[in-house]
Amino acid sequence: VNRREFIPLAAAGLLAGYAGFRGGRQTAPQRNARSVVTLRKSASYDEDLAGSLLEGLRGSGVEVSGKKVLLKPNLAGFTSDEFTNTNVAVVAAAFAAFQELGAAEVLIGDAPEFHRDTYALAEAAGYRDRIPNFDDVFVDLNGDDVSPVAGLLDGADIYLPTTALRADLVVSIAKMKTDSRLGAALSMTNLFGLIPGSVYGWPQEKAHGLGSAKVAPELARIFRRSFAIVDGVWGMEGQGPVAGTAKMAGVIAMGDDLAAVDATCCRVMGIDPSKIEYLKLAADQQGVIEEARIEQRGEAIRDVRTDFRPAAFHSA
Amino acid sequence: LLRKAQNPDGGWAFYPGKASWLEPTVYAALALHGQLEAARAWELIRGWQLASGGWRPSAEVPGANWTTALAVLLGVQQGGQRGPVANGLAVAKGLEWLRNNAKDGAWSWRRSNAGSAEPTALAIVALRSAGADLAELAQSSEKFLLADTLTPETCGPALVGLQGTSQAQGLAPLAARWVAESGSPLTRAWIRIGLRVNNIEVADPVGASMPRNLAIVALEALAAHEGNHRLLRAQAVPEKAQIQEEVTA
Repeated sequence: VNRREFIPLAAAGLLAGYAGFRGGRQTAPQRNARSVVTLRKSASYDEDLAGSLLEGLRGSGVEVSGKKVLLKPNLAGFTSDEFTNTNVAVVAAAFAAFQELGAAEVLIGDAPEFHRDTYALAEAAGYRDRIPNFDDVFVDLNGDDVSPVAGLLDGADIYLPTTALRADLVVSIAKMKTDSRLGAALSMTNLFGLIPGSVYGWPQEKAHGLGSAKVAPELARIFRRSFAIVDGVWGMEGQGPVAGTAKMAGVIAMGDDLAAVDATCCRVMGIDPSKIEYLKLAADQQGVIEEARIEQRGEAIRDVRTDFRPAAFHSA
Repeated sequence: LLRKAQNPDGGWAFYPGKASWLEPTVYAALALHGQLEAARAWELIRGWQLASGGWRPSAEVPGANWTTALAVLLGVQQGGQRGPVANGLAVAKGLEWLRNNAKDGAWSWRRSNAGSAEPTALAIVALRSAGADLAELAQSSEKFLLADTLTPETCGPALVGLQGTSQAQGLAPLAARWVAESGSPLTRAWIRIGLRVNNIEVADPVGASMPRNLAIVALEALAAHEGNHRLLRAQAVPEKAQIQEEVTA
């Protein structure tokens, strides 16, 4: 076990179920490996999203029978608009789909980057009204117990929520957004919301002074038992992830390679993924981003392409 | 609820059944000020102080952060109540840490972060509660808080940090509007505390459901009309002279 793969003994017990999950990317991809990304058209949140997600999950070979699944939405603002937070319809559909696939436990959790009152955020986004047994399944990861994970970049420990570390699969249910800091905010950057504010403050990803672009792939490495679902039915263009404007793309993207899913979403948004620093850093370490190495299922990119207005400034 | 939720180690978690953290522990201890639960909380928290004088945010997490201000605030209250010299020394080291970690009048969540309203406001209150001379910091801190206050979430802590100033009075109408409009119990509790420490009356909520986050439960208890919000009113701490004497000794 080399240093960058190291999981401290303190967390080893929590991660005992790690090897059991099949379907997520568990090791760095082999050179020339290909990843599968599924694109599904969805014109509104009233469609059968659960059926659509189920089809995509099965197509990706996700097996979660008897496993613990954590759904990680993007809760970014006190609003019920359709373009700021991961829409509750997508989260509810994912919740139903993973239950249908036989998961032993499906939880929903977030450690929002910009706001402290996680339950109030979730309530404003309609989660309490639409998620069955909301109080039993929702976890404020900003107030969770934490455990250290060694080997972040130059060796600093990072403290992460035990609920996330214990999960057999972390599902990043991101919103399709442009981002004023990173160029794009998608499934990999959504993992910033696994960094607890109770340890790192708000917004958390700046806590290490390492730069957001470097931290995102590191989180994808730590949470490599992961799956990505990107809600692009409505997205956010311009000054995302919180101050942009609504943009409808009518698409949901999913796959078990977060880098490949994000690269595909960039192409859907009219953004060259090779210009996005965090994706360049993730390429060949946490996944693939070249179009030729991504097997596209469902819709073709050209059929769902919707150019997003980029952020006026971004610096990774 | 707070009494029942106290962990066996004397602290409080953010959520029942989880490990103790400094932040909910201090708010709960302040809400239960003068009671045995608060003394037990201070016994736990005192053990979390580091050699640097700063406080770690939990038993699990190393490294001092913004919650040092909260520990100092609780230490001032507990020290005043019980008077042991050790409390005064712990508070003095905490005050030194706070002074060493101010940047342009602002404090951050962690040393590597930029300044934020909540850590800044609480550091000011902690320093003032302990009788520290803020002459050098006051102007830049107030300027920072005013520049960083115009969100509902930061308004309450800023009112606490700016207490007694004309700027706080100027913010009051906006704060009153936000306390009525906000969907966040945390935001509402902080604003009510901020208004009350500035002697501005605000109604208690009627029929509101109990938040799940124990830090918010404690803040709501502090914010209530009969609550201990006065403990965040720096000039109302009678024991600061005693603590200064202990530190000097």
